[in-house]
Amino acid sequence: MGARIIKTFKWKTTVPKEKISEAVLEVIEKSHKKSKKKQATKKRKK
Amino acid sequence: MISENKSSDNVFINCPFDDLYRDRMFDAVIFTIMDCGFIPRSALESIDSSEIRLEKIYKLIGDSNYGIHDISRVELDKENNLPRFNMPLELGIFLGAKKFGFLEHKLKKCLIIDREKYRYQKYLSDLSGVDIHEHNDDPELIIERIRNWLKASSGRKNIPPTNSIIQKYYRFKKNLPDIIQKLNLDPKKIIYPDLVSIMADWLRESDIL
Repeated sequence: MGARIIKTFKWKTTVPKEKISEAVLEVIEKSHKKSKKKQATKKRKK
Repeated sequence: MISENKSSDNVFINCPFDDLYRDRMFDAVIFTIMDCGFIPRSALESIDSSEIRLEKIYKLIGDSNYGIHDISRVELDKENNLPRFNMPLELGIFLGAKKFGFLEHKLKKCLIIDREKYRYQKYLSDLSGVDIHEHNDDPELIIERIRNWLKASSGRKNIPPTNSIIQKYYRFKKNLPDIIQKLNLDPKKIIYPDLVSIMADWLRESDIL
């Protein structure tokens, strides 16, 4: 939902852009897994 | 890919760059602009020392249809006991471009914000009659102000609701230290292009997952 354009910026980063993408993806996936685990534990408790 | 030079998407950011503002408000400003589908433009985006700063400001303002001017930093500097005048100067350049520029510049739109609603009347009284909004140093309030202003002034219908931006923003802030650590960056010295690239990737990936 929403506008969410995401573009490639020309500005120079200190880290290669591919590395940024990799790091972001890893962290998001990890946090998704964590929250799914939490939800599953909550359901089980109920 | 949308070109960063398309002025109808560019939002010039005129705000304090000190640590206090950066910790509490700056990320929220950038995040909101990007989540609403616009491009944040700041003097911090280029680290070319050979470029004269005022020329850089002129170019950014010339390239931007929108401008966010946070004039809240009026305190005296602890070291030299003098106030910072850069924000009112850049606001003046933006308003001057709108008033005296060619047609495309006349269409410029700006949001002026201060910490408290009517405080500016004591130090920038020439702005009396202009609609200035307060943010109370509250990131949620600044998100709401920017989102509502972008929606109203652009007329775009695909701008996300405030609550959705705030929720995503907190999720991003929770993930940010881990991302910074993975990239071996110093959280206190992260530069603007790195931060914007991280945000852009985060928004893209969080949308897909």
